Amino acid sequence: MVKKFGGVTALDEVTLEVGQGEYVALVGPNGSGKTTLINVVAGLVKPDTGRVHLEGRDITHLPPHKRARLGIARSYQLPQLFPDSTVYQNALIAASSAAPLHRRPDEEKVREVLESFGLWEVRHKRVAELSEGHRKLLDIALAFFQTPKIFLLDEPTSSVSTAEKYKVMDVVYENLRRVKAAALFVEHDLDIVRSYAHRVVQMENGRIVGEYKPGEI
Amino acid sequence: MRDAYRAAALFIALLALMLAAPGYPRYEAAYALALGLAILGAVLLLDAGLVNFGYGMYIAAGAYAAALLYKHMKITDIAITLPLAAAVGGLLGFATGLATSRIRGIFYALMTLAFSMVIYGVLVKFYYFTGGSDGVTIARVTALGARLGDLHVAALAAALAALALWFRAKFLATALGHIARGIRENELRLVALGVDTGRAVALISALAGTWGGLSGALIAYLTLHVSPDLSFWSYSGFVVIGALIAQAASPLYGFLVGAAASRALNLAAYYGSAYYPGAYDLAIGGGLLATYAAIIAARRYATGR
Amino acid sequence: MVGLLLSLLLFWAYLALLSLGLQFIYGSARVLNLAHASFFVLGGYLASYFANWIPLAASIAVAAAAGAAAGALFYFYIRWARDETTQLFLTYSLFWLMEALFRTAFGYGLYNTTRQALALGSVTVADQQVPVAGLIGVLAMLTAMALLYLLVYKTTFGMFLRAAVDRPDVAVAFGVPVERAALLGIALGSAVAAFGGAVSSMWQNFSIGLAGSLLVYAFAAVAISGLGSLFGVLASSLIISAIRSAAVYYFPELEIFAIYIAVLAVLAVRPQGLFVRYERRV
Repeated sequence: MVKKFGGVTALDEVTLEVGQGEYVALVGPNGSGKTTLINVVAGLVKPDTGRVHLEGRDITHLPPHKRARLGIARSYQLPQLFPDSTVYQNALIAASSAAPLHRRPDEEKVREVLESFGLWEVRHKRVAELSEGHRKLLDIALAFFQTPKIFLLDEPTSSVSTAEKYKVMDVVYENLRRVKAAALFVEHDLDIVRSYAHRVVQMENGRIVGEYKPGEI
Repeated sequence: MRDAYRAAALFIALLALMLAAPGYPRYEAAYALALGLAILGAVLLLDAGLVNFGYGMYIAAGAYAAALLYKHMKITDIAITLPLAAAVGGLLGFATGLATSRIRGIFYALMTLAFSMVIYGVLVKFYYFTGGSDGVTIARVTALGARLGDLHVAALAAALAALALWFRAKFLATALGHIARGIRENELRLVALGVDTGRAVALISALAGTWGGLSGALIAYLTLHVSPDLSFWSYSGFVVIGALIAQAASPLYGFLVGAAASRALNLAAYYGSAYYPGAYDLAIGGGLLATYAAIIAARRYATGR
Repeated sequence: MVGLLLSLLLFWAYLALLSLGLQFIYGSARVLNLAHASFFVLGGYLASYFANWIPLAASIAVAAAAGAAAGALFYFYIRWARDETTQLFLTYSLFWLMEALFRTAFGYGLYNTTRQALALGSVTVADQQVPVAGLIGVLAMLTAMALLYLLVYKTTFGMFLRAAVDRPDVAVAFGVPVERAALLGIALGSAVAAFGGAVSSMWQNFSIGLAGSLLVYAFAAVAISGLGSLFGVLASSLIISAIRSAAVYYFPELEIFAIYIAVLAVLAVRPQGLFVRYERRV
């Protein structure tokens, strides 16, 4: 896959495969193309050349909302939440994406997801009142209402305090395991990478320059 | 079930109000309720973050559906005209919703403004069909053959307002109701969660247009006259003010509050225009500014920002 | 044919003078002023009013100065409207308030400077009489365009403007006077609008309701061009003028529809506008 923005080659001949249930970490300096790769898989950016396949199906021309329904979930470096709503309302909105428009969203599922992310106790809090760790977890939890097949995590522990980082990743890991989803996550903290990844892919200047087992880095 | 009881209670309360206050107060109360249907439609759009500056076109669509059915086919029965008015409004809502499905913000406001002025132009221009700028006068209203008096029309307004309350309660609880909120607060994230927001906007617009159409038909039967002014941007301005107030007042009952406030402002402008030629413009501009400033101030006070 | 061409050129000048200011203000301060057409109309009213006592050129200058002053006042009005929705409501309210002002100050009459324009005479071009006023109109448009372009791309102030609008937080850190740039940008853009209105009064009648219809045309020009590009809005004004002139001459019933269909077509196929490369942020 190749992607150029004006004069900058963000992705230069990148080929990547993620197996079912596999957790692949993307590491590399800023500007190496990690976020662009995520955006291409999510459907926000069209590659100049190359294809994106999900379970054998070519999804390169599908718009983002269709890809989400097929199981491509993502979270964001800066949590993308519904800022004027409570945690519960955020979940209701996300749950509504999986319901027919004229029906009520599945409140049982809302409870299930919020509980499995440890957010049930704070469900009446407004988004602005949440701790950074909870904001990150909510950001990830929202994508669990369309059952994820592959989860694209963009720096899931950035701006989370060191004490909370592992707590957050443990919760995410548990939930990914529960739904048997694969994960492609961008991460700068190499300890996190070592603890949670099956495989590590290193990028630089838009190219993949190395692949390692977690123990090797 | 609770939604149905609440609506029934409202109907009874409003009916009592209509019985207790005959003549002009009854007319004004009925007009406010009719306007309330339109305000509800505008609120549906506002919930999704869409500020429609041309909402009057849906009201005009319903009003002219009722009026032209009378003018050209002598049909006065609300059993026929109300559903048709609602359908025409809904169709127009859907069409404008489709056309603006990817447009937001100021451009959405301007496109809807432009649409409504095109429709105004069409209503004025095609004189032989629409009556031009003179409009159409309706001689009478009937229901299943029986002629309706002003109390009956007022009761009809009460019934439709109760229906609107029931609909509003239901809408807020459905997936589409939550999606509307999601579009307003973070549309990009909602798309990434699997929602086709363009389609949602088209559907919400269809619903908004349907309520506008009903509102227009009711106004037509209340005033027994329709004119292209319903689609003119000043009429829409009053609707926007009402919708803003509605949204700030209450998610469920707001449309009634907004309608009352908007109608009061419109009346103030009407009487004021005898003394000051710019009364209408001042009412809309000042009303909009004051309402929005008050909402911002209240929000800042509440969140301490 | 020459009649059609002349009408096309005049409307182009008219629309360009209106839209250039709007685009420039957006480029300087990230503000889309729904009352911008009202400043244009203010210029037309004022020039027509003053032309009864002072020479036309002076009247146009007075109008432009009033536009600048109105722009400065507008800057202070809109200062705290950081998000789009607030801008929307504040500027739309202003539009209505200015309509009230026009109704009070100028009543329901028609205002123009066609008498003074006729006195300027006409020249013969290709066996046709072309009014001098029309030529002045086109010249005014080209001058405004040149002035704004040079300002934005060839001066330090222009550099400040572009920096301030791209990343205001970074620009401030580098010492760029972001707020002053916004103030000057808005004042200048509004002055251009008033100037345009004043010049157009030579062939256009100014009266109540004009600001509203112009508002839609101005936004059509910006929507088709895309936000931020001065050349884009110059080009889109020409496109709209061509569509409108063709409609007026050959299919008068379609005039009102033609523009909206054009805008919708562009927004459907290329939402960021024809002449802008990146995604529109508004």
